[in-house]
Amino acid sequence: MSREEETKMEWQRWSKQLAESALQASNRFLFLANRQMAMNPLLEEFTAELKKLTGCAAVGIRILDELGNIPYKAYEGFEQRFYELESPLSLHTHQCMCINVIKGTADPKFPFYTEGGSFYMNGTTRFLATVSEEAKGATRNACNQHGYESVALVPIRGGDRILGLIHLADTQENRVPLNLVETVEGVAMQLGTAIQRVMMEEALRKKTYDLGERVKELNCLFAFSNLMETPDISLPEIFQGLVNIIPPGWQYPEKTCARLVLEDQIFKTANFMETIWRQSSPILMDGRRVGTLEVYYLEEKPECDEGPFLEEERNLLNVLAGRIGKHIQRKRVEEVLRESEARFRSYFELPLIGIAITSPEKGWIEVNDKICSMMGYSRDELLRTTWAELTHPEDLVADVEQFNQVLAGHIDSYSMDKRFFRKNGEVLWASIAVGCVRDSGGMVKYIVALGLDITERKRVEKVLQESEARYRELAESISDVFFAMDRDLRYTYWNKASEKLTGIAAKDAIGKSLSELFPDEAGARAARFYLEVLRTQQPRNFVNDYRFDGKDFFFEISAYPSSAGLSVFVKDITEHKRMEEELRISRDKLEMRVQERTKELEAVNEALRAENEERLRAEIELRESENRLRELSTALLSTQERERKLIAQEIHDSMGSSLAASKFKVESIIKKMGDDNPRIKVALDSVIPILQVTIEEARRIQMSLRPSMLDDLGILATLNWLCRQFESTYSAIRIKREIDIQEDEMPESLKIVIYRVLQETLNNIAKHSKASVVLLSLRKAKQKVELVIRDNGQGFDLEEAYSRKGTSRGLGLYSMRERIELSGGYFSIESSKAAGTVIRATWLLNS
Amino acid sequence: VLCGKGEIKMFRTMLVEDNVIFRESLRDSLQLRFPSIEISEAGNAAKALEKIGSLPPNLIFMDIRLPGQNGLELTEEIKKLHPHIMIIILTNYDLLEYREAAARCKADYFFSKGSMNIEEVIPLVKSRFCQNKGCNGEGPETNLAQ
Repeated sequence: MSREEETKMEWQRWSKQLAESALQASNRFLFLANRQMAMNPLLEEFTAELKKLTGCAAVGIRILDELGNIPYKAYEGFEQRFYELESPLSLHTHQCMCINVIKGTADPKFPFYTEGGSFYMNGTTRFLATVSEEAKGATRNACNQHGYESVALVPIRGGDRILGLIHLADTQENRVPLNLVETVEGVAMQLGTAIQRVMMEEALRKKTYDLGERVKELNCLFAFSNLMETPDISLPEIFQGLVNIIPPGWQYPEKTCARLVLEDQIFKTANFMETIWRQSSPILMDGRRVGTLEVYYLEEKPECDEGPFLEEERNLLNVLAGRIGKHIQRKRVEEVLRESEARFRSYFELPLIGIAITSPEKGWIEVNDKICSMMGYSRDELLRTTWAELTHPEDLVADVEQFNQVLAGHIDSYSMDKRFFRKNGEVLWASIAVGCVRDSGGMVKYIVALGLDITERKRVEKVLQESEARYRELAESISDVFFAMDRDLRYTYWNKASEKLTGIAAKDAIGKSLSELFPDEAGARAARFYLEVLRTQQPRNFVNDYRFDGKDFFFEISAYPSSAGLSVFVKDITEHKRMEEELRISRDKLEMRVQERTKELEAVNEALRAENEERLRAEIELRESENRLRELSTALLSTQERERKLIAQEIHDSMGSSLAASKFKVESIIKKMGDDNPRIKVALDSVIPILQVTIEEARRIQMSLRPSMLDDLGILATLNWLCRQFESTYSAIRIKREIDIQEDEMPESLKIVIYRVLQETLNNIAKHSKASVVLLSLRKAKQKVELVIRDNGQGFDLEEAYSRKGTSRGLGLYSMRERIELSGGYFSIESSKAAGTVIRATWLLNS
Repeated sequence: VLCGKGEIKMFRTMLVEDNVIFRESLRDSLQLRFPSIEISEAGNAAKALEKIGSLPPNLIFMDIRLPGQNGLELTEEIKKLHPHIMIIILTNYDLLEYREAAARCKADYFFSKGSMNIEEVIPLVKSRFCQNKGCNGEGPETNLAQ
């Protein structure tokens, strides 16, 4: 057997073995392909089995992904370097036999392609040696460069698509004969089917997972909906509920926490902790950010769409944040509405004004308490009536007319004062305002009526009207001009006298302003005056002159501020003014005359003043002269007293004592003589009585000059003596003495004065009074000495007594007064015919 | 002469009088009647008090009007010191007021100078004299009670 035959036999045997093993392999692969397993284990097992099947040193499976990359998903026997270099190839950027095969661009006319689209080469070096460098350039020839002589690339088909390829390589030549390649093509068919199946399964599994996630989201949203629809739930409860339902909606519920930050409020799950794995969504209200909804993973999780988070989770978070924002907004709007409703309700029930909602049929729909109390009905009673039934018949027509206008859409509202009958039959005056609410078609849905009880106001108005009528009548009837003005100086009232004076009728004057009626300077003057009165609010008078019909008039204007403006009285004082003017002229004349006369009088006056001065000087001189006279008189009196005292003393000391001594002597002589010489004795005896008489006479003279008793015993004893002597002389007159003063209390200088006064008074009484009783009182009271001598005689006319000149009596009174006053005392005398006389002298004692 | 029995002892009398003529004539009259009595004189109160102080008299004739202190005041003063001295007030005025004043001053007797008779004085002096001598003469009644 030739070598060729041997080789052929060997080839056949090998082929047979190969076919057998292919069959076995096919079974094996069929088994593998139908096993339930994931992609990678499938590919790894196929790789291992292919290696066994082909005996190639290196086997790998490339899988085309969506991006056009063709990484080795499983391989055995390739060096790491080779894998790293070749695995990243991409259909889009590289040129390689693998890419040709996967793209399905294998052209069967080339010997190294199979009918099935595989590439095989059993001696790469040899082959490449036959290819021009230019042709080589298009492929990478990486397998050859890595020393692989035998290379086969078998496409893995799934349906019409090429899913990848099986890469066989060996450093020896002829390791990938065609039949082996064709066998592997069969395996590739199985593998393709298996890959498709696994891919379907994986896709299904993914979908199932995704659905699970969606269910979570749905649950989450559902829980959120339930939460918000929970009756009477508060916003904080919703917020807390929201954060609590977030973790179950995320992929890793137990590792998820959530937080809601809303303005100043924070809500969070019990396990909340800030980490770096965060997802958040803003909460907006009216486009304004009011808070943030945040989700955190508590530990690292595989990367997903947004960090470890899914896109769906992002969406869910956004939905939740959006809905909570809307919810808050709605809640707030509801709150505002509720408040508004409550406010409206409270306004409706305010006891200020009656409010009624009525129907187009005039029935009451809703009434407040105030209107019930105004009408005097209970709410139930009122609701059973219509307002038309309660309206006063005289006002019904007008009201209904207006009401119908509203119904007809001509007007939307009206107001009027009208009368109702209250339940008790009384008339209620009400000021009503009626408005309507229409539907979109313009039809009246209901009517709103506001009513104010103005019964009292109407009553007062009536009283006021009557009062005003009375006053108007009064104002009309007064003859003075009277008008009223408002604050803008517009006439509001103009009485008949005003019409008569100005010739302007009331209807023409009222409503006009002052400047319109009197645009002249006089008007302007009056306006200034009125404005001043308005400003100060004090009544004032003012005289203004006007010219009417070419004649000058003077008016006295009295303006009084009133609540509405001014009340003005105008008095025509033209005549008065004229008279005043005349008076003024005549007064001026008179004044001139008076001035002339005054000059004359001044001259006379000057003369008189000179004369007067002369007289004054004379008076002063006279007074001085009087004073001198008085001093003289004092001196005279005291000199007189002194002289009397001196003479009395002399008489006493010389005459009295000498006479007494003579008498002793004579008596002694008589005694000595005895009876020797009777003749002489008789003569001497006769001398003694003479001496005795002489002594008595001297004593009498002495006492009358000045009683020595005054000096020896004092005034009290002397007065006593004087009275005694007086009584003995005038036995018809009795003196009653009331002495209430001690001798030493009496100033020495007064003693003689008192003595002389009493002496003089007693003389007068004895001579003139015909009195029977004299009351002598001398007493000291407080700091004065008072002497009173009162008689019950016939009295006398004082003036007459004083006026009598040159008589002793007048002089006696004068001298008495003189003595008393000169001694510093006060003298008074009271006397009248038949009423006796009282002489009173008082001296103040020096303390 | 005075007592009629027993010895005549020294009896002192004093005249208080500023009028010398009257004083002398009274002294003479007294001396004439009672030669044995010792008569001293004083013209004013001070002199009188001085003499009384050195040798108190038994009897004093006292004028009212004296220069300085008057006789009534002096009498009152002497009577306080020497109540036993008899004092006879002599005055020009026999008036009730004078008598009362003399009595108030505890004077024993009162005589008007003008109307006084020396004979009226003798019994008084005698009584005083005897009393002084221890003789049993009847004591004179004062004339001031009248």
